[in-house]
Amino acid sequence: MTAREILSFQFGHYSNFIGTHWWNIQESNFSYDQDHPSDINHDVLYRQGETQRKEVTFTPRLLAVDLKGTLGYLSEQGNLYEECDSEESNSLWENKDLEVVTEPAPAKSPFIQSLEANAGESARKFDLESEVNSWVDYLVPRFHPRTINILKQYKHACTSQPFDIFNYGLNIWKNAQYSEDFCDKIRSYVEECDMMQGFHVILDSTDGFAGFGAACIQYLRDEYGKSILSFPAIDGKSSEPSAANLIKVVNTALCWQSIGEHSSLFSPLCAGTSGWLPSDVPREFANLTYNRDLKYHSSALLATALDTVTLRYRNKAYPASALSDLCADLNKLGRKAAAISLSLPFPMTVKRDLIDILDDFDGSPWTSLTPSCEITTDKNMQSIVLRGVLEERLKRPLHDARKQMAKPAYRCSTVHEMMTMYLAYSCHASATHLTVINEPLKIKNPFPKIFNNNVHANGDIAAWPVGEDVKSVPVMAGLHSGEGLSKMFSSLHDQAMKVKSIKKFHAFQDSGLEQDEYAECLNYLLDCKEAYEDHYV
Amino acid sequence: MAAISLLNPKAEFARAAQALAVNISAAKGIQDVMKTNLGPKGTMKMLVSGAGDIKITKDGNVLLHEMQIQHPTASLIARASTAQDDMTGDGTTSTVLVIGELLKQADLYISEGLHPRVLTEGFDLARAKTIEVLDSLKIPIEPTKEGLLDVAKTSLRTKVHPSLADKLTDVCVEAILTIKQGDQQIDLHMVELMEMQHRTAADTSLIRGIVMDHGSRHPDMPKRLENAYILTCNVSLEYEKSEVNSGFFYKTAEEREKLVAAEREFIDNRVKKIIELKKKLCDGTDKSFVVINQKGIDPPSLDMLAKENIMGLRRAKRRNMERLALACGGVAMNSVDDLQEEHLGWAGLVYEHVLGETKYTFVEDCKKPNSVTILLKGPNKYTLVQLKDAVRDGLRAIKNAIDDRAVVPGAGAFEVAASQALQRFKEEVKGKLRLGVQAYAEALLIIPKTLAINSGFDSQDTIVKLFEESTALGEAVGLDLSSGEALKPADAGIFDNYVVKKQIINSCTVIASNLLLVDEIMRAGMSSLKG
Ligand SMILES: Nc1ncnc2c1ncn2[C@@H]1O[C@H](COP(=O)(O)OP(=O)(O)OP(=O)(O)O)[C@@H](O)[C@H]1O
Ligand SMILES: [Mg+2]
Repeated sequence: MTAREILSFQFGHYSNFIGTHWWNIQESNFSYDQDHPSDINHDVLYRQGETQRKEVTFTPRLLAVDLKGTLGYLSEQGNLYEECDSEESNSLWENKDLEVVTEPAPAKSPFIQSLEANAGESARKFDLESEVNSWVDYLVPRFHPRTINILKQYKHACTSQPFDIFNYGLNIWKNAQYSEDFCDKIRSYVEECDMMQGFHVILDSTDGFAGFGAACIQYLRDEYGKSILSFPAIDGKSSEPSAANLIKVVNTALCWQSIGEHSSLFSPLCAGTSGWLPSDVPREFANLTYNRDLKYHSSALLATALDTVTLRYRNKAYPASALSDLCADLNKLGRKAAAISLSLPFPMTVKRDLIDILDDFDGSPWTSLTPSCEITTDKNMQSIVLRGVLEERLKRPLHDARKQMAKPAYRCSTVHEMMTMYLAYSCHASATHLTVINEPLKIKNPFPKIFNNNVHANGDIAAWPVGEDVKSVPVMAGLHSGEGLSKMFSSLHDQAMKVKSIKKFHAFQDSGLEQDEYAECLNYLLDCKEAYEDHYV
Repeated sequence: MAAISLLNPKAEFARAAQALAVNISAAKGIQDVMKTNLGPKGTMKMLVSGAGDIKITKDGNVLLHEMQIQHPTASLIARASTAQDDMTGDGTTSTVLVIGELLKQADLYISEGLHPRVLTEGFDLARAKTIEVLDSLKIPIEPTKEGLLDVAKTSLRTKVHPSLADKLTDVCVEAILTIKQGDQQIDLHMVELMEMQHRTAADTSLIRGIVMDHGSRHPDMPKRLENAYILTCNVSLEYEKSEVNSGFFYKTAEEREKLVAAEREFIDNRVKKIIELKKKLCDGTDKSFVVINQKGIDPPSLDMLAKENIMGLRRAKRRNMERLALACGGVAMNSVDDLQEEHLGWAGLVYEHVLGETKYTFVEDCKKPNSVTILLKGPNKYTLVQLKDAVRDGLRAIKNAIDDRAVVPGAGAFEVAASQALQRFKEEVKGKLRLGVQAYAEALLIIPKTLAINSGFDSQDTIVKLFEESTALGEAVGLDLSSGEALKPADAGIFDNYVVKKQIINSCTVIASNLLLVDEIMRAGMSSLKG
C-alpha cells in the first residue's frame, strides 16, 4: 500500500526520550498477524530497506541528534547494516604503526540485555525507573546508519562548556561542514519518498538544541516547502529558581519565534503545568501516578499524546488525509501554535457504555500538556483522535436500552457519530475534526508502569483496586487552537521580560545575539498573544 | 569585549606564575600525545568508542577534536590547529608541536627569572627572520602534472601507505588539472568526493563527470543511456497538497476530488512539456534524454517519463545542479515553460549502478568536464572517512601549490635552515631579546627531531648531521627517514606548501606569546578564548 511518508527529527536529549517512547509505542503496536492487520499505516513513519546481504530492514525514517556521551552502548552506525566483508582491514596504513585507543564498553541496562538475548515478553520485571539513565537504555527499535548524529563539539551534562545557549546551536548549523552532511542525510531520506507529506520535529526548546533545531526547520521550509509540525519540548522536572532558568526562558522564546515563523504548526510540550515558572506543579491525570523528575516517565506521556494525535494522517482508513490538512485546519490568522491534550486512559468505566460515560463527564475531558495553557472547551479549532473505544461499548441494544433511549445520542450508531455529537454540544463555537480508530494503544515493556491499580488490563476504569497488568488502553488526544494560547504567550513574554537586557548574559552576546533581536522576539510573543485573543464572541 | 566574569573566578586570583606553569604543562601534554603522529613514519591512531565506533586518523586537528579537550589552554591550542586546518588544510600536527616547544624553551629562561615579555619580543624578531628564510627557500613551480605530483605525494604519504598514496596522488592531480580553468581560482567544490562502501581503497578512481548517490525510482525506466541530453531543473513534478484549504470547509468528497484533479493536471502539463522536447529532439535518432530534478518527481510523473524511455532522477543535491551544468553544459532551469535545446547538457553515457539499497548514477563521457568526481571506495565507513580525509588533504596541497606558484623543501629542511639562520641572526640582536631568538631557534628543531625519533633515529645525532651537511653544501637539507642521513629534498621530491609553513610560523608565535603573557591576557579579558 502506498503511504504518504513523514520524516521525523529529534533534536536534544529530552526530545530523544520522547522519541524513544514514541518509536517503542509504534513497535508495540505492530501487528504480525496477517488476518488482523493494524489500522495504522506504519509506512508513514518507517522506511523499508535492504542490507548488502539482502536482508530486508524496516527502520524509523528518523534523524536524531544528541551530544557526546549520551549513546552508551549504542553505535552511531547502528548495528543493522553490517559492514561488507573484506580482506582489507585498517590497511590504509602499515599495521605495525597503528596505536589502538579503546574506551571501555559501557554497561547495557538489563532491559536492553534481555532485548538482545531475544527473551521476548518474558516474565522478567525490570526496574526501569532506576536503570534508565539515557534514552538508549530503553530503546527498542534498531536504527538505519543515517539516524544517529552526534554534535561532537559539546559533551552531555558538561558544566564547564555547557550546550545551553540558543545561539550555540545556531552556530553549529551555520558551520557549513556539519550542516552539509546533515542536509545530505535529509535529502537521502526525502529522495526515497514517493509522496512525502511533511516533517515531524521534536526539539528541546531550553538549550542549544533550540537553535540547532530552529535552524534546521528553517532549512526544511526553504528547501522542501512541505508541511512541518514541530513540538518544542520542556522537561517539566522540579527546579529551584536560578539564573539558569532564565536562560532557558530566553532560549524558549527565541526558539518559538523562529519555529513559529518557519513551521506550519507548532505545539509546545511539557508535563509541568507552567513550564517556566518557579514552583511548577506537574499535570495531573486521574488514573495515573508518575514521577515528574524522571524523564523516562514524563516523556512517555508526551509521546503517547503525539502518537495518538498524529493518527489522523497515519491510518489506513483515510489514506487521503494528510498533515497539510491538519495544519490548514489550525494555523489560520497567524495562529501557528496549538495546545496538545491527552486523556490517558480515555475513562471507559467498567461495564458502562460510551453514551453514559460522555453524559457523566463534568469538567474538561482532556488534560493539557502544553505549558501555561489551559484548554477551554469553547471557541477552538481542534483536531481530535479517539482510539480504542469499540462499537460494542457504544450503547445497549434496543431491548435493553432503558434510560439510554431518552438521550438524543442514542440514535448515533457509531463511535464517530456519538463523539461528534458530544463535541458539538459541549464545545461551543468550535470546529472539530474527529478521527476514530478501533485499535487501542497496546502497552508493553518498556512503557513505564504509571497506571493506577484501579485500571483493568483492557484499560477499563474500576472504582476499586484490581491489580492487573495493563495490556491496552483507549486514548484520546487533541490539538487545539483557542484562547488558552493567549495566556501561554503572555506568560512566556512576562517571564522573558525579566531579562531586560541580554547584555547581562554574556554567553548570548558572545555567541552573536543582538539586543535588538531579543526585543523583536519579545514583541513577537506579544503579537502571538494578541492573535489568540477573541474580541468577537 | 572584556568579559572577565566568564572565567572561573578562582582563575583571576591565580598567580600569574602558576597560570603560566599550568599553560606550559598543558601544552606539553598535548605535544606528547601528538608527537608520534608526525610525518610519513608517524603512528596512526585508532580510536574505538565504547560502542565500537571506530575512527582512524593521524591528523592532528581531528585528534584534538576527538579527544574532547576541556582545559582552556588546550582548547586555545586546538583552536589554533583548527584555524590552521581551515586556512590551509595541513600542518596541524606541526602547529601543536611548535607551540608546545616554544613554551618548553621559554620555560627554561623564565625559571631563571627572565620576564615573559622579553621573550615574546624576541619571538617576534625571530618570527620575521624565519619568514625571510622561508621566502628565500621558495621553489617556483608550474601548475602542470610534473610540477604538482611531488607536493601531492608528500602530503598523501603522510596519511596513507605509499602504494595507495601514489595511486591517490595521480587521482588528485588529474582531478584538479581537469577542473582548472585558465588562471581562475581553483574551486575545490567542483571536485565531489563520493563514497561507495565496497571493495578496497585501491579501487578509488577519478570519474570525469558526475556520480550521484541516487537513481531512477521507476522499474521501467532505462538503466543505461548513451548519447544523452541532460535536462537539469528545479521544478516540482510532484503533486503537493497545499496548506491553504482547511479541511473544515469541504462539504463533500467530490468537491475535494475536483480540486485535486485540477492541481494534478497542472503537474502533468509540466511533464508533458518535457516529453514534447524529448520527442522533438530524440525520436527517430539515436539520442536519449535524462531529467535530473532538484525537486520531487512523484509516481504518476515518473510513469509518464518512463513510458517515453526518459530517465528521471529526483531530489538531486543542490550543489550538483551547478556541477552538472559545468560537467555537461546546459543550464539549470527553474521552469519548463520555454524549454529549448540550448538549455540542455550532454553526456556520452549515463548509467545506474546498484549497491545494496543505494543506487548510484554515473554521468560520464562529458565533452569538457569542468566538474569531476572522485569515487572513494572502502570496505567500511571508517575506512571511507579516513580515505576522504586523506584525499581532502591531497587536494588542498595541490591547490595551495598552484595558488603559491611555489613549494618549499620538506623533511625538516626548512626548519633546520631557519634555525641556523636564527643562530647567526641572534648575534646581531641587542640585549636580552636575543634569548627569545635563541629559544625560537631551538624550538623550530622539534620538527626534524620528531621526524627522526619517529623513524627510530637519535634526535641529537640527526640535528648535528643535518647542521654539518647543510653548512658543507651551503644549501638546505632534510632528513632521509629510511637511512637517517641528510638528503636534498628537491632530489627526493619531498615538498611542503609554502602557505602552510608560513601559517604555522605566524600562528604558533602568536599563540605561544599569548600563553606566556597569561597574566596580561587575563586582564585583557579572555572572552576570545572561550569557544
Ligand atoms: N618523505 C618524507 N621524508 C621526510 N619528511 C617528510 C616526508 N614527507 C613529509 N615529511 C615531513 O612531515 C611533516 C608533515 O607531517 P604530517 O603531515 O604528519 O603533519 P602536519 O602536516 O604537521 O599535520 P597534519 O597533516 O596532521 O595536519 C612535514 O614537516 C614534512 O616535511
Ligand atoms: Mg600534513
